[in-house]
Parts: sequence; C-alpha cells; structure tokens
Amino acid sequence: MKGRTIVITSGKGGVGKTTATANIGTGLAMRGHKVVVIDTDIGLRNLDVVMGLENRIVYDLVNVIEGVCKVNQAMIHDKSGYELYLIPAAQTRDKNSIDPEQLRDLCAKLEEDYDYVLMDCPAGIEQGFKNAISAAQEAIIVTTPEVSAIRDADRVIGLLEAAEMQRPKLIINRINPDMVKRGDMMDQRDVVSLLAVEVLGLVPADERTITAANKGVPVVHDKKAPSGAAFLRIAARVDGEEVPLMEIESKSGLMAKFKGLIGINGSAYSHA
Amino acid sequence: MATSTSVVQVSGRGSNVDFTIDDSAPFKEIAKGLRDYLVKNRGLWSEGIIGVNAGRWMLSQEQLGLIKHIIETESGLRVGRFWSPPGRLEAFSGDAETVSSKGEDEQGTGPIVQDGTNGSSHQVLSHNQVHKYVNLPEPPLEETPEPDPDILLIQPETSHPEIKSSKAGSSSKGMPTQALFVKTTFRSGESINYHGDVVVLADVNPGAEIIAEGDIVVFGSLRGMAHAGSAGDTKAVIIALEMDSPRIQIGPHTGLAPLSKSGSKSMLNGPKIAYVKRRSVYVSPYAGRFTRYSRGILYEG
Repeated sequence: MKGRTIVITSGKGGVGKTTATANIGTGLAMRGHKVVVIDTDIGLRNLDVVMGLENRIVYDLVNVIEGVCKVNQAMIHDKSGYELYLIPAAQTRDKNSIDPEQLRDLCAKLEEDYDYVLMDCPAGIEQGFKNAISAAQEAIIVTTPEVSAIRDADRVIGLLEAAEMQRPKLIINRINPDMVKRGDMMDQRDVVSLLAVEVLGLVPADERTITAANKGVPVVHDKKAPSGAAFLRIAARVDGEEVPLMEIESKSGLMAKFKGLIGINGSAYSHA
Repeated sequence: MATSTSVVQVSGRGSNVDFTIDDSAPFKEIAKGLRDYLVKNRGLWSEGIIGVNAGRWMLSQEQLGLIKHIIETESGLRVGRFWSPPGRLEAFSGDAETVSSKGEDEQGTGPIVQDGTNGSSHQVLSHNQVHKYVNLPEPPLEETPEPDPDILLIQPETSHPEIKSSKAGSSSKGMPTQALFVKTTFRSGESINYHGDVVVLADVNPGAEIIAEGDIVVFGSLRGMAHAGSAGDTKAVIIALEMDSPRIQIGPHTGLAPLSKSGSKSMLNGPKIAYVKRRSVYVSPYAGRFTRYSRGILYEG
C-alpha cells in the first residue's frame, strides 16, 4: 500500500490549520481509510487538544525521530474508534529538533501502512514549515477571507511551487455569508482569483467548530454543524470523489451570493 | 563551525536528487563541503547532464565556474546549465539544487582538485561582481572544457561582453537585450531584477516586486510593486491589464496610486499604461504603444 502524505499549511497562524487537519483526518477515517495525523508544530502542539487526546500522550514525534521509541508506540488511537492515529508534537523541544530528511523517512515508512498521512504544519515559513513540506507530496492551504491571511497564503503557495510541490489546493475557512453579503468580507471568488489555485472547499464560520475544539471532538462528528458537513465534503474531495462546492447559506436561510461550481448563476441567488 | 555534512545535504526523491546547500556558510566552506561530499560518495552518479538550480544564490561567474568544476571533476556528471527560475527567488534562500535524471553507476574519475584555497581567493575577487540578474544567461562556462580554475576565473570576464555590460549596470543602452517572459503568477515575496524588458503572463500579487531596466508588461493584474527603467530610463513604461498596484516606479520617479478610485469611467477598468511626464508618474487607459498620452491620472498618492 502506498499512502499519500499531505501537508496542511497556511503561513499565517490562527486560520484553522489544526482544526482542518483534525477534521479532514477524521473525515477520511470515517470513510474507511487508515489515517495518521502528525502534529509537526513542535513546541506549540495543539492537535492533540483539538482531538481530545492530550492525556494519552506518552511519546511524541521527536521521541520517534530520535529513536527513543518505536513509531507505533507514539501513535495514539483516536477515541472515535476509526482507524485514525495521532503522532503528537513534542512540547518541550523546538522546530530544530528534527530535520526534513528524518521527517521524510518517517512519512515514507508510514505511507507503507496507511492510506493518508496528514501533517499539521506550524505557522510561518521557517524550519518547521520546511520540515513539513519536504516530507509531503501534496499540500492543502488554509486561509480565511482576510487580506493578511491571503497575503501569507500567497507567499506559501509561491514557496510550495518553488519546492516543486504538486498543485496545492485551497480551503477558505470561516466564511461569514452575512458579512460577504454586506460587502464587508472578501468574496470567495476574489480570493480564488488572487491566489489562482484550485479550491478544495469552503467552510462557513461556525460557532460549533469552536465548541467542538474545546470539547476535543472534531466538528465532523457533529451532524448538525455546517462546518462539519463542509469538512466531510472536503475529506471526500481529498479522497477523489467529485463533490460540488457547497453554497454557503446565511443563518436567515437566504442563499449567500457564493457562486457554486458550474451551472450556477450567481444572480440566481441574489436577493432584494 | 560548519562541517561538510551540515553544509551540503543530499536527498533524493524519485529520479531527482536534491543538493541542499547551506547558504549562510561562506563560499569557501560550501565549495569544500560540496567537494568532500562528492568525493565521499563517488560512484553514486552515472554520466548525465544536469542543470544546477542556483536558487536565490547571487553567485559570481567565478563561483559558478568553481561549482561546475567541482561537480564535473568529482562526480562525472556534466553541468549543462545554471538556471534560476523566478519562482525560486526568495523561496528557500540558500538552496542550490541539482537535478539529475539517473545516477547509480560508477563514473567519476576526474582528477581531484586542490581544495578550499581556490574558493577563498575566488570569493575575494568576486565580491563586487556579483550577479545581479536572475536569469543567468547561458553559462559562458560551457565553452571552457578546460577544468582549470584559473581559466574559469578569467574567461567569463573577457569573452562575454554582454555579461560585462549587464554587470556594469546602466550600460545596457543600445545593446539588444532579450525580454524576460514569465508565465507564472508572481506571488508575495517573489522578486525579480532584470536588465531588460519583463513580460508577465499572469498576475503580480501584492508583496511581489518586479524591477526591470526596460519596460514591464503584465497580462493580468498588477498588484505588487513594479519598477521600470530601473537604471534611470524615464522613457520606460509599465503596462498592465489591471493597474491595481499601490506603488509603481519609473526611473527615479515614484508613483503612488490615488487613494480614492475616482476619475472617468474609462479609468475603472481595462488596460492601463504608466509613464513619466514632467517628472511625475501618470496612468492612462492603454491605447497603443505609440499613442501620445496626455490626459492621465497623476499618481501622487
């Protein structure tokens, strides 16, 4: 079996990389795949918290790489029961504790046994970022519809292209349809036209994402959460399924002016 | 401080072999590290022509020559060309990468060169002759099969006038230079400095910069910084399908986009041209290269 190693990155911090990693990982596992998620944010780990596995950590990524333990000793089985495992980051070390070759070797080894290896990349474009991207074959960029996040995403896409990464795909997170309607938030089309990359998914701003993260249960488990549904669709697209991009509805039930995929005329959703 | 293993790290994926070279190390150490590595791993490579991606390295001809010499004598590989695509710029400041298509056989039996001392002398000599230009012209070193560092040192200087002229900076006047044609989006943090015209077939995003001694033409949105006529030519122009840049520069004159997007309707959309008139930068709807532009918007912020 030859799995796929995907890095989830953004440049800017706080746009939802960790949330996206936890949810896409869970989503893929729910689809019946064997998935490993790796937290490469050494020194600032939090993927374990978002997945609710913090108190099960014995060994971490640096232990694995330094040979203190075996890989499967550091892998924490997700409490959902799906074939989902977490390799947590070390909290007491820093990004220079590992180097790209070591991480690449580890991922190559994991790819033999797992369908997907997802890496939660640290913010920034320094050593931690270089480690993560050198080990991955594919990349998912997470951004929010804010100028600063988009600027950083643009920079990161440039770096990924320079590293000869396959075409990176974009997730636009925390879209607030009401704000877009008022013209206070960038439209998804503006973001895409600037970044010029393929869109993997649109995730609405959703309070349930935050509650879910605080509870340590990824929001994809929440059947009522619109963001959870969005992440499930993203997982399906990562898996190769053709799922049309979702219309993001505002709470009032009106269609926001997001254009869907093909055949959907934006004006059909405009309202007086 | 740096040992050979930390200066040069080699990793492979598929048929590609990446040489990652620590840019912060002095060139002498890099040269030594590269040579040590190749000597140690002789037999790993087979014959083949490789391209050396100089990344963001602004190397002098001498340094490029030395690197080529080291690779060729120590590995049996032949360096076909040096290159440095715009996308690489800034990317990993300090990556020099060689890509080889095959490499398993013993071949390297070149003579071992005496080490580091050459590197240091080259470095000293070349300090103010550093390549300022991204697109290295076809390496002049190719015509020097003689693997003697001393010859490599001298030849590029004497036998390639166009390189000399580019080093001289503003002396490109009257010399036909090729336009640089860029087909990918210029993203934030990427920059290019070219001694001729630059044509971009995509967008120039915020945070990217293009500096050209000639004209700049963008078939897309210009949202980043553009500086045409960087050697002082005020006749240079910037043309873009959408002129959204907050700041453009032509020769010594800087133009700041008006804060409010007022003006006639024709200024809202469509291709624009920026030019210098009476020491100020103006932007007008583009109406052909040889039109006399008179009424434009003053870019003064």
